[in-house]
Amino acid sequence: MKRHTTAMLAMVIGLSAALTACSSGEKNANSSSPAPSSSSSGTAAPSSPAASPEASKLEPYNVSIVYYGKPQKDDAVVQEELNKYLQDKINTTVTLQPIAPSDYKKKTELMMNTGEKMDLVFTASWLDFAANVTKGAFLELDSLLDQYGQGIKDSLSSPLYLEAPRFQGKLYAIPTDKEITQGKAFTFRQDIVDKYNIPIDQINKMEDLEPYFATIKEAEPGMINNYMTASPLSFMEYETKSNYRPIGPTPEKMPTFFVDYKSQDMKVKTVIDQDIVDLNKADAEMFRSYYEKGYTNADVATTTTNVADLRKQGKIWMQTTVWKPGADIEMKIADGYDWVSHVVEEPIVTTDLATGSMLSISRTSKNPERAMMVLNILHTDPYVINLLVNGIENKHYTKISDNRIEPIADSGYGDTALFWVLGNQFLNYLKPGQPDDLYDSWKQFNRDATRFPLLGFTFDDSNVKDIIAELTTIVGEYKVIGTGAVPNASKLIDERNAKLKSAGIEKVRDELQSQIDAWLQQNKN
Amino acid sequence: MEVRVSRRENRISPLSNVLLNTLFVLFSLACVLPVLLVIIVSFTHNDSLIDNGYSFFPSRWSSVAYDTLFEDFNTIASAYRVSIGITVGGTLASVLLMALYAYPLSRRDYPLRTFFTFFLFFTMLFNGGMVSRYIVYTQMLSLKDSYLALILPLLIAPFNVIIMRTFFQTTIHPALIESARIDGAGEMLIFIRIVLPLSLPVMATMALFSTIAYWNDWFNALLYIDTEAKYPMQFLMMRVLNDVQYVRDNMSLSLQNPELLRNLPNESLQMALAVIGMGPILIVYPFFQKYFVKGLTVGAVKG
Amino acid sequence: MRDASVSPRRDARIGTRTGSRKLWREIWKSRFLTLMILPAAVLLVLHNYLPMFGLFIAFKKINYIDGILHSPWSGFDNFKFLFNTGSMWRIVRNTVSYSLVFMTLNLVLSVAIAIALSELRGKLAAKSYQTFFVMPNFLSMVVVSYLVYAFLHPTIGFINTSVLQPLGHGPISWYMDKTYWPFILTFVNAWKGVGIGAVIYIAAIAGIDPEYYEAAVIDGASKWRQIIHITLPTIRPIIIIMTILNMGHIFNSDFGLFYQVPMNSGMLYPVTDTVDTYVYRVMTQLNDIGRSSAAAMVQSVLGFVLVMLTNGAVRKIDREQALF
Repeated sequence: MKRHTTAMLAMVIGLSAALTACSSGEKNANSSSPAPSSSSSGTAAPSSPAASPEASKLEPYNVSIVYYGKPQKDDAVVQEELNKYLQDKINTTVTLQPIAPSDYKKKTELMMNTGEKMDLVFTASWLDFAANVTKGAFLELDSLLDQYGQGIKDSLSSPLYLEAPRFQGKLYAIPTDKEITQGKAFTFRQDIVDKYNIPIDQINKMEDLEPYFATIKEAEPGMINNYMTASPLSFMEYETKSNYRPIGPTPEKMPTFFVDYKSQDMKVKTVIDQDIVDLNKADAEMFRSYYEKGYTNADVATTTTNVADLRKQGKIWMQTTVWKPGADIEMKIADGYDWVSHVVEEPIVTTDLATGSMLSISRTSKNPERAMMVLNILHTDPYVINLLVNGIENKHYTKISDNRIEPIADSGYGDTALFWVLGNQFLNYLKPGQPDDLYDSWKQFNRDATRFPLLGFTFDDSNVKDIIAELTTIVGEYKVIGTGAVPNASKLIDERNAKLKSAGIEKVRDELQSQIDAWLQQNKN
Repeated sequence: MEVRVSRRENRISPLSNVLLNTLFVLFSLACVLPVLLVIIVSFTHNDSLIDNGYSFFPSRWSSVAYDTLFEDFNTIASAYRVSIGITVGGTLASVLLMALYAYPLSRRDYPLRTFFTFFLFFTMLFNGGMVSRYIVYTQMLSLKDSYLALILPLLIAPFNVIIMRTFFQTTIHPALIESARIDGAGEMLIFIRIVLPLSLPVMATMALFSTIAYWNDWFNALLYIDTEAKYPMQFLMMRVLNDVQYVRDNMSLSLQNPELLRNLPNESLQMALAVIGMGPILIVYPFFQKYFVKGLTVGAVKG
Repeated sequence: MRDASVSPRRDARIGTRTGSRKLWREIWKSRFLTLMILPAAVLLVLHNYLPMFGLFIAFKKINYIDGILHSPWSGFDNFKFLFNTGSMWRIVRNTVSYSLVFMTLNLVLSVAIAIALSELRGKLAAKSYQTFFVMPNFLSMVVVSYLVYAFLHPTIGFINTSVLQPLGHGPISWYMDKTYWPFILTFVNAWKGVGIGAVIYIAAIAGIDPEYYEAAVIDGASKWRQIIHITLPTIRPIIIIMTILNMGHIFNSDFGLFYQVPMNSGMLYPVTDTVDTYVYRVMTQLNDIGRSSAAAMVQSVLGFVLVMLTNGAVRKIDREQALF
């Protein structure tokens, strides 16, 4: 169903989409030419050469794809299958280079440092995309995209995607098309909600939960009311009680600098500004009382238990979650319980979230044009993307309907979640449990998401690195205060803030402010 | 024979023997019980782990960790093969090369002794770091994806060479070498006929250290090995442990991508991996141990 | 007794200084020894000296376009972060004092264990003990950290439930209270290290000619006197050389021990933060290879200076025991 819509849509768009249309149809023989920048892409960079030879005229080239995912047993089999197809199409072969998550950052940065040849490289805000761009790891993509990536431009589900991965106005990566952002939500187990008549629509912040914690602690002694780990903040704090949203560096992953996203002037505040301090203290005191009353797990400072395991055991009835359409069902697939969410934050598209999963072209690529062609295919060709994500039909999965599959267990491919890593997730076959309208609701979600006023801004920390290093240590030392596990949280917050101040947090703020101002100036028109 | 008789007479008093034994039994327990706990945890059901934590008497047992591991028996078998091959080959080469380097340094009449000692010692403290080594290994030596890339980095351990040199210096009397030379023996012959036999304990010690180093090495595999079939055991193991650690260190990331949390191995699986990784080393240990018996070598040479 | 073995050829070595020609003759004469050294020396060149150009990274502002060799120089910029930090004193104090304590304690315990093991009556028992003692060394720090956690867990840990509770003592939040950690870390380190550390000394003792002991028995020396006068002097050179070498790593710390075992708990930083954990945390934040290289360089240089000083001191006392 989905596939056909995509195909039809693509055909209408014009010449440039010929490639898309063919590949999503059943591999029509008349292998197409990538769009010369004509009619539809009239805005393309004029200086760019309009050479787009036929597949047969292309020289053979091998595109290496370095991506974030555990290597799988049948990687080579899938690669071979891909190559058969891609060779016909654009006379290209690919080398799949999956790198396990825990090694990914270290290994790719090593490869960048040593100038190893790579073509397509997975990158993301949380993999230091911005720093790597500053150091020159990736190629600038604007004109390449215009020439060889028309399919990408046409298929991306939100125009905001191409606004985010920019540095000094230039594009350096293409985001994976998936949910562009996340809302934040309180998620409850349906049976508990029913049993105790919890009005979930009225629960808009942590404080609102207190009476139900009390009830359930009494009635269900086996449950953990408020399961937390020692992260330096409760992540609902700013979202539920203020318009402040984090921006800039986050030492030890603690949001430290903020702007009021509804304000006009984008004034940067820090955790040592009074209104933020007040928020922090109120929050910490509340968690302290939850801890003392036994709502929070006693081992919060050090726990390593995976919350999914606890859910499976039926010990969790409430969780704060990042939310997107279908999140509740994902949880049900994992643990078997019915979940229901109350979304408390409107989804905002920030630079960080919109750049949460991307492919870029390495500076060391010997044929960036070809890399872009492959990237274009990853965004438009359902056959290719499903081969990469799910493997080979009847070997790694069986098809149960047009766009729905049943994975074959232990088949050697398809275990690793690659769907959010590569290309266009909306082309992926649906898996058991996922609702038919999942992708439609995601697209709707993407369309409705609010644009963060500083979308596309990234902070360049090179002038204040040493201060940030120091802030990191201080924040790390006090990260447990947000959990309630230590007494006198307010006093500790003051203590921490005094240290942050003397370490120079204000200098970082000023630097951040001036970069934001400059960025706003530049992007006014 | 005589030696034994005299040693029997030269024993510590029964009282100190009892005292020492008591201390040693206590310390042995401190060493063995945790290992035992690791084994028990590897057989503990995950629910029991979450509810009661680690326990010597878990409420629910489960062999699911090992079932999971051996499901993919071929991978493990191949990783074992690689590990054993690397360890045996690496250890032999390493001990030989280190002894060859250490011996001349132990000779006070060797004029380049100070130079080569410093040459060695300097590398103990200064190195160019991972990036430049990676460049040398992959671009100059073309060792990417080759077993040599796993062997070469651990061949010469400067610390061990210097220890070895000191052993040679103390156990091999210069007069012994002098007399051999007068008998017309060349340096190589002296090394093989006199130095090596007299140094069996230290050779065994160094072999043990090399074995441990090779067996436990996973980082070089991470850097240089691309082919799944060439992965050593310890790398497979560390990859799992690292993944778990990674997700824990990046909770916010895994909140954004719940897929990361899926199939995350639980602690019993991690402990099962630890058991599988540790087992072989414990088995070969007694083999090295027999060279540590007091007085064995000297008697052997003299006899 | 051993001192008698001081080389009769020592003056030959000094003699080489009289003229370069004589030196060359000496070198030529010992060419077979040089030949023995050569294979390992070549490996050192390949593995250690070729990549030494990486040392420049500490003085550069690295970008990927120019690569390591051609990135612009930045003088001592990369070093600043180490000296700007308010935690400088704390991390240096922790690193150095733990190193010194570990060094001394592990040395004493390893030597004691080695001597005691070699004196045990039952050789089978001695062998079994020895096997048990090395076991902790084979557990990775991650696994060790889980084990420690099993003991110190706030609610279900062995110590809180099985020791403190029966004693009528309330539970202790181990991971929040820094008072205990210097001891816990020292204990874990010793537990993990002394068994394998003893192996070297066991090997050294195994190399002692039994005739020495036999002679001592004939002289009527007690066991204690034999240890003082035979065993210890024999392993003294090893002890000294180990100490000299360990001085080189006084500014380094076992990352796993200080990061994994305390579960990276922030409340414990005052007593668990070392140079290596600090650099690790900062680098995960900053992603700057220049700065991490600078930190490593400082550790190396300080270690180098310390080794040279120690070596010099040892030389003054007993030339033969020095490293060079």
